[in-house]
Amino acid sequence: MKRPFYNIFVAVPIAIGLSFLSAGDSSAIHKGAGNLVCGGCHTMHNSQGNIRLDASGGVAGGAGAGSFILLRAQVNTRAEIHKLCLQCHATNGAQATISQTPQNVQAPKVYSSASWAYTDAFNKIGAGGNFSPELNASWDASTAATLGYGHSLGATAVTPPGGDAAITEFSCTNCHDPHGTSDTGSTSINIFRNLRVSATGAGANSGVKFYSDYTSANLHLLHLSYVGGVSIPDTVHSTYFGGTEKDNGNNVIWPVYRNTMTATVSSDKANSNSYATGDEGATYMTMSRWCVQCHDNWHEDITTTNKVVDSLKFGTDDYRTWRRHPVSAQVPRWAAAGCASGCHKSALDRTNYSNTLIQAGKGLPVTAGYQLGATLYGIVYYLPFEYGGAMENQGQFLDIDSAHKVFCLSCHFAHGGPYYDNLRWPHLESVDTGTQIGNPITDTIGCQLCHLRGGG
Amino acid sequence: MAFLIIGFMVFWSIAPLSSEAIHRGAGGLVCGGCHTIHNSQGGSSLGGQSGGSIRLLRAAVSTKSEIHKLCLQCHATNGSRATDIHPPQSVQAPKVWSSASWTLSDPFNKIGAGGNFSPEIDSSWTATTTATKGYGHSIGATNVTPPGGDTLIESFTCTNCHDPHGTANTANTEINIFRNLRVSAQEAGTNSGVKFATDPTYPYFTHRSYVGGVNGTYFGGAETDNGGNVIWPVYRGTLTGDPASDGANSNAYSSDTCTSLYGIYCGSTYPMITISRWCAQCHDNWHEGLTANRDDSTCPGSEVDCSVYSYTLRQWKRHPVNTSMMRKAAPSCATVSSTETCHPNMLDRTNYTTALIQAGKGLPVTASKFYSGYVYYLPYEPPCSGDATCMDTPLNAGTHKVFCLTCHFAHGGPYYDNLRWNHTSTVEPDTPQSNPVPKDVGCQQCHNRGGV
Repeated sequence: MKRPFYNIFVAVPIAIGLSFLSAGDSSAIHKGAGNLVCGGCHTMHNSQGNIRLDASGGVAGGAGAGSFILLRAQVNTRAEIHKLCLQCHATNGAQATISQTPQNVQAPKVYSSASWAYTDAFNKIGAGGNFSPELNASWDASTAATLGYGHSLGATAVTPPGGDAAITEFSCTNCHDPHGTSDTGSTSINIFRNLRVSATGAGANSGVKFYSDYTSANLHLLHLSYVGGVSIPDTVHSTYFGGTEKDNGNNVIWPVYRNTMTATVSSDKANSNSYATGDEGATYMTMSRWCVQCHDNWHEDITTTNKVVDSLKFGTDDYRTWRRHPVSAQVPRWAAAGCASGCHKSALDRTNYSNTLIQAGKGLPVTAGYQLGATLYGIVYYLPFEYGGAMENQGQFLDIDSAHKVFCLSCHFAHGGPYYDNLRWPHLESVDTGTQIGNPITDTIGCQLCHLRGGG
Repeated sequence: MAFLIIGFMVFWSIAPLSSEAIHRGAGGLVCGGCHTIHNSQGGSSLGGQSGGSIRLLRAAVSTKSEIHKLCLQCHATNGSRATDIHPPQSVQAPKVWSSASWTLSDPFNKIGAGGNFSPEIDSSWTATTTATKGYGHSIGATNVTPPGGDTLIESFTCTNCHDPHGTANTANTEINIFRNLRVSAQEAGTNSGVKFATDPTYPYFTHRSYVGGVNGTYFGGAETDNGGNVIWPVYRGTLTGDPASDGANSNAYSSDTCTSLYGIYCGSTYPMITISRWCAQCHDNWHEGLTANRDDSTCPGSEVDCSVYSYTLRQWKRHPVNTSMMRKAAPSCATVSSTETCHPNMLDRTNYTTALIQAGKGLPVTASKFYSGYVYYLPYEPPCSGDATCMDTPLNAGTHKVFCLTCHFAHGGPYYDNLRWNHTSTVEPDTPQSNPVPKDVGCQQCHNRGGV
């Protein structure tokens, strides 16, 4: 009965949709790239090949009494499911370098030993970031559940920051459906990254089905990817499953873009993810709305007190006062430096945002936008640089189905990263309760890309 | 008396705010020091509140007028971050609210240059007095018209005067690099907008500081008040009385380019660039360049043509805040006779000495062009002997000038009306009780009356 080692794992890719924002192989080894490979993750009698998938326990036949839901790793609870997923999706997983069928590619890494810093381009880290150092080399959380570098896989009985419900057990499969779907009409799974329509344990605001009419001309309303079977209709990406994009440690990743950005949307869209914009209604949902299934208080449409509008102060800086940063507010493309005190009374000042910055792979992630009066769709991950034009007028600005929006991923990775609070830049020195000390931030990263203060 | 009521005088921070340390000037901005994007920073909120604070602030701030309750977390001795060491300069924030005591018998290096918001603000950082009668600027006040002002201020707090983000760019059109004072104080009214000069060609027209990003290298930490709390006083160490050697250890406040006491002949490049003019954005009536506070009716023609040296030449209706201080004014200047040849005025600085400067009690004035070093105090010069040519020409730009900070702290202090000495025992409406003032403090440093 004993099969060659490679047979076990080459033919048995991971069955978990740990692919949040490209990091997961949502349509590669899971459904979408071919038939499901059940035996990749499950062992019916805890006897598959007489060895566990992780090959580390030395217990023939898997965990002593078999693993939870027949999984082929030492998994005793739902909170430990990532210890199966990471066998393929971590650089130190037992199956890290196995070429998975049927696409014959390595699983993209969501845990990597390679380093990445904000000085690197976004094509050198998975689009969802890196669970290291939030998870240590044993894949255990290195920090408190609500204070750390990213989502604390393995946490139990925790209420997410901003959340309304305690999550009993938290792991990859709370967000991703491990089996995936290739059916855009699925009511329980979004085809984009196999994100569940209802995140497990999410509470009152659960249930976000992305707009998924991939025959529509409204590409800015769709979640798109150049990799992983999420087709971009006009650029034909459904057949690309990665393998070429690598991090600084030469590990396979699915970054938010590939190759080089030109800063021109028409040429970059074939090489970039794109995140749907929308009105957060029943049809056009953004990634922010998906995230706030668990982080309820952080979305201004759900917690309306996050924004205070004093109509008597229209035209002044006090007209619109935020109590939490918006996660679904329009980002006017032509916001001028003076917008901090002039024109539309926003707090924006993008003096240091430029095409050069986009070309360097440091463009600001926003939702997609439809360039009114033009022929191009802003279906790239970044906010295109505009210059020399007037602001979107009031009508256009309020056309929230079309505008670029700031959203969760503008500032945060989905999985984790090298910086506290899952941020894309080093915002804080520490996140110990109540004693956080901020870091200085230069004019060309982070907050100040949109909110330059004090001049350049 | 009215002009001395300074409860709302400009909230100017000669150093107490860490304007160039954790704010811009000493490095990149530290956004996370003051803002929590989702009111969840670190699972806590630096005194924050459910639902988040306005402008994403990390403190219990529900209205604009409460913003100081964030600032004071670092800048008050009883703030939750009072002793934190802030990057990138690795210094504590200078304290503008301190539990330590200071009196007029102490030198000015034992209190922040802007003074101390205590006792105007109590230990809960709430004003203890009415907005226009008290010990200093009543941060937290709402719907008040500043004394001498022309406009109602809806919300008054630190950020009315200081830009919290600051600037390291001298050309910034919205923020002065000196103490991050806004070019236009918020809700200031008709005389808003004062951009300080930073032209190295005229160093005496530049606001300077030995500490903070204004000089770019020293960010404090060594200077402490009587309670051992970090402050940014108006000078550090010991003064010699010689501007040439004291310049490195002293703040200096820009003199004026104006060649008229009225300010109407100001230079077009740097018009009216003193702290006084900055303060008068809100306290409009107290600046003779904005309000006719001087009666020259007895002097025919322009003042430069007037040859009548008498008290009637210049009748002040409010004390000047932008008038030249002749360095060698003699005691006899207080009395005019037919032989008096110095510029007649009310000055008598008999009790003003180098020893007094060395004791840290020198009289604050604007800088001048007369020395190679620039200091906060009026250097001592022996009085003239009656030779008119020995006096500084008052209408020339770049002379020392009396200004708001000559008498008042910018923030607050232990004495009523924000004064540097205890002039009155109360400031109750219509019942002010005056205190006796010794000959070597306060008014009598310039206007000695009754001899030594």
